Amino acid sequence: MAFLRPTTWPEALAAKAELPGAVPIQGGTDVMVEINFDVRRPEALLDLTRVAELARWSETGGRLRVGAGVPYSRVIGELGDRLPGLAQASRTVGSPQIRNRGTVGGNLGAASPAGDSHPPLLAGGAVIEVESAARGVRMIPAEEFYLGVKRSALEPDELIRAFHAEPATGPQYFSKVGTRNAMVIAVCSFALALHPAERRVGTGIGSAAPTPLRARAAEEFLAAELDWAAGLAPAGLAPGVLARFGELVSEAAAPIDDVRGTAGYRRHALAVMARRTLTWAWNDYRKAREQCA
Amino acid sequence: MRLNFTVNGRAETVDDVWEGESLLYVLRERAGLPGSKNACEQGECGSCTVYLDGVPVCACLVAAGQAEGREVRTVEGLADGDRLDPIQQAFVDAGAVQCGFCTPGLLVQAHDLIERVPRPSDPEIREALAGNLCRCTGYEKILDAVRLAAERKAGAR
Amino acid sequence: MAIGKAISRVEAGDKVTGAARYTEDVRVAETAHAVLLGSAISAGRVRGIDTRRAERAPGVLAVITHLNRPDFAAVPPTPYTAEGRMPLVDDRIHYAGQYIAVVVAETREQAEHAATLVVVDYHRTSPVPTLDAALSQAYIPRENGLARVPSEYRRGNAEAALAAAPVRVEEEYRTAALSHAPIEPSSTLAYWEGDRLTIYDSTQSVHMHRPLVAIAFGVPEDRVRMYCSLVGGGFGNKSYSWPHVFLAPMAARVVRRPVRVTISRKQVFTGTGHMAATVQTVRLGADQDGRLRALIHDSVNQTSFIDDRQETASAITPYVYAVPDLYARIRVTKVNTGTGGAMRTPGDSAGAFALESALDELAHRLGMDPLELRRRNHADVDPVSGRPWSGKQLLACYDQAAERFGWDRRNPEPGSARDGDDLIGYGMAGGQRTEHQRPAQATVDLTDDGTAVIRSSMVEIGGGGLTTLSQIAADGLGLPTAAVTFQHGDSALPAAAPTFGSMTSGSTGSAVKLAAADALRAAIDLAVGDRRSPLHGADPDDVVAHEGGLRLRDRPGDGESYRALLRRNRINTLRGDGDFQPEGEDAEHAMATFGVHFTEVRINRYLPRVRVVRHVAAFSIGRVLNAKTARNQAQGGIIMRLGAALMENQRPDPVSGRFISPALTDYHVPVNADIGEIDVIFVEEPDTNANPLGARGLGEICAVGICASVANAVHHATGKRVRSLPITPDKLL
Repeated sequence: MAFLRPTTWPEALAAKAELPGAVPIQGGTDVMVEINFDVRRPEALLDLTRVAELARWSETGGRLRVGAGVPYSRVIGELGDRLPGLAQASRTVGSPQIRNRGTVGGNLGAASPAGDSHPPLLAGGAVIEVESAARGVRMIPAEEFYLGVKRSALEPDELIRAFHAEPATGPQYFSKVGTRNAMVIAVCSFALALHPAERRVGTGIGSAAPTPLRARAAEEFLAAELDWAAGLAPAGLAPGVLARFGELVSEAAAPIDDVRGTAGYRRHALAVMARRTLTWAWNDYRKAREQCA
Repeated sequence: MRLNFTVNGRAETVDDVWEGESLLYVLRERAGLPGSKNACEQGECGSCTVYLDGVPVCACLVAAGQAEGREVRTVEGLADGDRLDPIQQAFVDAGAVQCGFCTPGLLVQAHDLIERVPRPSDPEIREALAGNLCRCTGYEKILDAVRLAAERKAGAR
Repeated sequence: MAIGKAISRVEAGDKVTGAARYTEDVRVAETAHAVLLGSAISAGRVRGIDTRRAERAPGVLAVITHLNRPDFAAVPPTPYTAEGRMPLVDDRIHYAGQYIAVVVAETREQAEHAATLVVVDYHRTSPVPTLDAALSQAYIPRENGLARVPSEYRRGNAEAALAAAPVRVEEEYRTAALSHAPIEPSSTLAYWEGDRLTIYDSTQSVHMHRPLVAIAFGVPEDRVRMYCSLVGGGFGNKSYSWPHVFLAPMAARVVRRPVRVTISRKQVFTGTGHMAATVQTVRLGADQDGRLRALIHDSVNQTSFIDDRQETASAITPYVYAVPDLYARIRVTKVNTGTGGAMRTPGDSAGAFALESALDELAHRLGMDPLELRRRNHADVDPVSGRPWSGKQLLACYDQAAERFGWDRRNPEPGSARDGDDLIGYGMAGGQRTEHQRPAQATVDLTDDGTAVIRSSMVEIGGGGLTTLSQIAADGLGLPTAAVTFQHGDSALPAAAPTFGSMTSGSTGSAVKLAAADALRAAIDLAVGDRRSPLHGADPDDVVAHEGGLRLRDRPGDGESYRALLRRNRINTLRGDGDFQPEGEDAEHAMATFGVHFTEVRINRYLPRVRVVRHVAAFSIGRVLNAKTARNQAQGGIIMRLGAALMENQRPDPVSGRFISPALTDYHVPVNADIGEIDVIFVEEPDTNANPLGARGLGEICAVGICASVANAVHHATGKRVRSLPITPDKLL
């Protein structure tokens, strides 16, 4: 096994082009488990922790670009105001030690349906920046990134460089169900983002289908039902809207029974989380409107 | 491959490191520091928690080569000579040690917590230590110990 | 007096600095590393096994399979040999993960890699995957897997009494397979020098396990030296010699070098036992006033095709309440799974879930307070033998814990307490454990520097025995605890009772007490016979230990230090021997430990996950030797069992029977963030009827009754009765 230590992005791309079997390693929270358990023994490890730019984020022209090597602990600490949904999800990842090392980039690379960052990336309309030495940059919307269980749109010679997202313009929430209070892989999870400027709703469902996915019908239903101008004439959410939104989210999922939970419980929990996050988000939205008025 | 890093303030060079090896393996088997424990090899138990450049991490999930040129601090490096760090003394005094296998990782993680948050609340302590499994499940006394260490450190300031 | 004081652990300093050495931390020059390859299938045979690529892999020293293994001399006896079949003995496969090859290499990594290169051709047969699939085949085993526990017990005519009872409860209860999941994976390091075997093993008893290894390899017991000073958590799984313990010396013989086997985390789950799943029925008959007339408790547990290992769920039932007519039975049934093993607290923990849940159901049916129901059926004497209890403070436990908890605030109506979206429930349950004792030996050496050394083979598994036993010796000799050191964990030392079955305090502790008394007696005899001693000529019965020496009971001024006494007489050490022999079957008293639990749960109405926010327990264990270690151990036992109540489930694959989740990622144990307030009360009364020390065991009773207390609280919160553990949210929808 080789251990490659590029210090610049072009070096990293070149190394990956030369050895497509090289496995990129950042926080190691997935890759090292597989090596420790001898699940795989790649021809090389491509250590990206010395490529400094990957650990940076920037905001230009109203868009955020977050390097693939920014650990969850920094997403929480530095981006909580701009990407609240993702920051909430990051807080539920593993343990503090894992959050100190694990990255959104790594979560994308592993493409597990249970990865915690996927639902908020979907709800927030994030775009993944990937690159190869041969074909250059590709910008892949999160929704098109997940192809199957632990399969993504990433080609063998490509590396994930960053993800792009708009800073939140409305409330964003993430909710996750597990069997204990911390250190849980999601039984299922749900993210909601309200985009008031476009009067649009974003959703993301985790751990309830072969891939993370959006609940499109639920998004469209809710965008049409919400009284976006409501702040001035305080109107709560009609119970019927909440219930229907929950149903539509639940129907969008395709869960199975597994060791973490039953399909029935997952459907139930998704509906609860959808109603819950919507209630929180709508309260925030109305409060914000009231303050503006 | 050869690996150069600093551990507990001492420069260390080890040879013949296999590229897939973990930092934990290097510490335990090559650097003579078996205090950090190997218990799950998947970051699930926290027994191998060490500081890597001042940040607590699971040493089992750090590839050895990633530690090149970096600073590592283990449970063996918490005490100042014979004088225990306040967190170590508090674990002794509060009776927070049972079988002791999770203790090294817990100490590093708790040490980091009270460095960052001098007077942590109970929920903050529980959350900060959520990745350190104790199967003797001595969580109550561990909580007492962290509170005690925080109080003593604050008092000493 | 040191006993009873909350002093800090004597080994805590080593444990907080990383200086403590566990089995895997022992380094021996030239050690080779063995990795064990487990079967991918759960039933069948190894038709062929191709080891050629593995043998050629870098660093590989040997690949041992059933085809080329050396013979074992004999099969050592169960139950402490975990499996009644030596590993690699033939081509048959009884469970997934069963070891089918040992790969020995220069480094662990090389061995692990080579193990992936072994190609196995399996002949699969149809497995029996689950307890349910095997339930109709349940039987009473001919040979009892655990000594002294009868498979069937009867008093009166329970069926007839049940039929005649005005109020009845008849229900089925299920407990899931649980894993001990200690943080330390088992490790064995073995090397031969001629026919002498040295073995470092993560074991809960060097003296119980040394003879097993000696028998397996056909060498005299005194040629085997077994070491284990510290165990990183056992909870019962290290009270057996599992197959890897025999494979390490075998591999060491083959490669003629020291060999270490440290099993993987996955193998901790598949290869060192588990608490077997049970299906239990409890049938209760009672009068309208709550007096129990009949009790039938029938339990079936899964066992392996290799062994008849009982999970003795109904074994304690005959002893708990004053019921005139009672029948209890324990059956097993064969499943393609590994052999189970005693896990804190064997039998009683699973049994209490069924019995104490059923009592709650009865109380509900009678409209009676569940605590009052238990009071009315209190067993004033042992219902089995009629003997008095050596000590029982259960009624006081009820009173004190109920008061601390605020049980009188409970509105008996289920679903009556709410806080916003949270349903609140109060539940309670009792617990009982038969007190076990074993012979134990120790010596205590008084030295001419005025200190004392305890010598006993005890293994410290976390319970605090090194500390409490040091306190005992210190008190016996009038020394500060800091002046006592402990040589332990070595089979060359006097034989301690094993560190399981809650026997350290009562048995090994009593041996230390006797040894300290013997050493004191020797010192007194020396002094009164020594003309130069200020105590010369005194009546030995008037001389007592005091502050590092001896003095006259009534004349504190007259005395001398041990140091002066021994140095003057040119004696380096004065040895006291302690040999504790339990009274056995014909003891005057029946011995048990008792407890009661009160639990408050909060359950969100919409995502009904149960959170235990408050738990109060009280225990009757005689004398408490060290308040600090005892409290920690008791809280730990409660929290461990809260895991069984709410999340722990080693679930079998419904087709193959293999464990689906042999990893800590999915076998969830409680984490710090799960825990609410855990309050523990000890109702102390020194119990010298039980042993000279007056202490009964704590490590196991503290983990009995919790699951039922939680389930009963869940019923109170929701009106839903969950009779199958763990109580996961899907069961409350």
